[in-house]
Amino acid sequence: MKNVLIALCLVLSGSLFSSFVQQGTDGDRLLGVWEPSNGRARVKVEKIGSKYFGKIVWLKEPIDPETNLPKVDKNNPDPALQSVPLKGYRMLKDFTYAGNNQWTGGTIYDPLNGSTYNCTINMRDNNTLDIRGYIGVSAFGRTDVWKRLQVQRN
Amino acid sequence: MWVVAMALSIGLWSCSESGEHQDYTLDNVNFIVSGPIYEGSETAQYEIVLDESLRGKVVGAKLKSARIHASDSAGLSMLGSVAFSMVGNKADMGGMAVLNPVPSGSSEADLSVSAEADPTVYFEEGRFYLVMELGINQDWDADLSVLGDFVFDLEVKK
Amino acid sequence: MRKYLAFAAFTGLAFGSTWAQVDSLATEEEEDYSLYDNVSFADAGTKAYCTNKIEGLSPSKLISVGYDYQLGYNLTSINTPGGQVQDVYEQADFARSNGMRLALNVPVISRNDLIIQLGANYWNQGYSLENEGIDNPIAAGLAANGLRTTGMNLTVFKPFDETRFFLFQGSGDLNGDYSFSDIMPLKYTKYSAAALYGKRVSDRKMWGWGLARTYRVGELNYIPILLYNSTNLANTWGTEVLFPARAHVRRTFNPRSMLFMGYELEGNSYRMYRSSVPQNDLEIRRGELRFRFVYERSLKDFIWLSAQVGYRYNYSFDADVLPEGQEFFRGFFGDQPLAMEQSLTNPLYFNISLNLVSP
Repeated sequence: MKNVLIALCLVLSGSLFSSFVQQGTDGDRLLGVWEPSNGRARVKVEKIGSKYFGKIVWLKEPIDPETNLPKVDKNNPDPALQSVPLKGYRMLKDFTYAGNNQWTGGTIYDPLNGSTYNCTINMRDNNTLDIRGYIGVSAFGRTDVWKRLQVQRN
Repeated sequence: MWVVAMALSIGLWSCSESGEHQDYTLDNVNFIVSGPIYEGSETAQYEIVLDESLRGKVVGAKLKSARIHASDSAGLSMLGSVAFSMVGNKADMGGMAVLNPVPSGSSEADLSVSAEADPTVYFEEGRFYLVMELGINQDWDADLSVLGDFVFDLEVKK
Repeated sequence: MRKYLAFAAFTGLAFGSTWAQVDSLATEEEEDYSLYDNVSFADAGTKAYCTNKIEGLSPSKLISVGYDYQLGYNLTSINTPGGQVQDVYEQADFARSNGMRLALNVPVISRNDLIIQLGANYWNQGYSLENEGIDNPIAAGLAANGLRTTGMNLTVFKPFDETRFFLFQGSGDLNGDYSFSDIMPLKYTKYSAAALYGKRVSDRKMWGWGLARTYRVGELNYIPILLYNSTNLANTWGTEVLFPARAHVRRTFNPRSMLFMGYELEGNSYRMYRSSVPQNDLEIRRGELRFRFVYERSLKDFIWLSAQVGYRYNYSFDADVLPEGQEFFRGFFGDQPLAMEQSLTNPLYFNISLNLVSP
């Protein structure tokens, strides 16, 4: 009987871990390519470790008119990182899936002014995200609606 | 008496927090991007699990240098830019170093390290990822391999 | 026993992962970035909307705590009940006029297709009289009680599509020499509103036109308004115009540091509620043009400093009698007589504020 109980515990712990993995799969619905409402960039959400990150894969205006070179993160508060290319830049960082169609704990970076905001992502439906960037409390923030993109493969 | 006790406790706290400095080197970290590769930005990551001897003992860290070098005769010709970050499962991603543009014709190059970046949290966590954003400047059919050498200055509790 | 444990271990661990160091070289799936040139929305019916900002615009303020200071100036007052000169009071010399200015704006709805913002503000202005004891009841009242505004406002930004939008702002302000222990009844609230239709022509230009009911010239007026915001390609120069309320040229040193040159029209109708004045129900119609330089910079992240220096030009400080606060319309061409004719000389002024700005 004791042996059966030990075996049962092991199975259950494995199943619990399995449900944890399942939650990670739900979080993976965020993966894909999204477009912010201003249409000036397209962002691909990926996973590194257990967290979700979004990097810029397309810019409406990829060339800096002042330098005639591809845009870089010239407004980054850290001078040493001002030459990081914007294409490939991770503007969404460190999100974890909190359940209930919400990803939290992350930040969103605005390369136009070099500001980083706290951020929460809510998935309204499979093709629509409410990205809320805020300062301190959610009341002092702004929600932008991002739409999922389908890549047309030839 | 109270003042002596306070001074002793402050002194002890200082002793317990300060540590010895030592270099922590990661050589020839192989960042591979499987081909075919297209012009644009590719991400390569490498997971580091800190050795048992250092777990829980690192109280400070600084990136001293980051260098990339080619693994074959093609050199770094495929690369237009390199941005190096670190991230942990708990610790937020932080930009560490950048090289833009990669000097043409080079087979090795040093990244410009951010003096403000602080990788302590990753070593405190004990398990983290090195993330390379590679700006690829041409299409390529084969795999791309870039080797990285990183030297950290760790402050380790005695 | 061993069979059970082996089975259980296999079952449990089958879903787990190893804890050893993984020299994982997980990489992105291969992708051609030019693919992202050719995309469509996964949702066929998706609609895009314009935003209420353009590139390079100064950040909007969520919380503002400021201090306003005017250097010395003179006040002349002539009591003219029914339009007839009755008393010519002594000239009042004010050493300074200063006070706190607080404002709060909270976006209660902030979405792609609708922004609704609620705001509140409190402005207080004290008057330091150099020649106390003179025969000028208005000056005595200002020196004793000062003037203040407590107001609330509502702003609605509604985009119709990627270029066209509608903007509405409405406010209610309680203006006068009241104190919070002896506050004016709300029936004396002054209501203002503005509505405009606009176009966000590009990421660097937007314009609009509309109509406003306003007290900025001191008394009630209905005036057309023009919005024009622009930024040059290098993001070094721009304009921020809401004519006739304000107009500025902007010089951007970097996204965290800007200099503005222009003017703002300030004004409202202030009830002399507590002060002893020669006529009952007297309201001062205060309107002034502030020609100024404004420097704004980020101190840290979203905390911005704003510093102004300028010249305060008095447009109006006359007074009317408004029984029960009942407003009347004189406009620019009406000939209803003033209850009191007043004028101010024009000093330099300074203004400094700490602001929490919006994402």
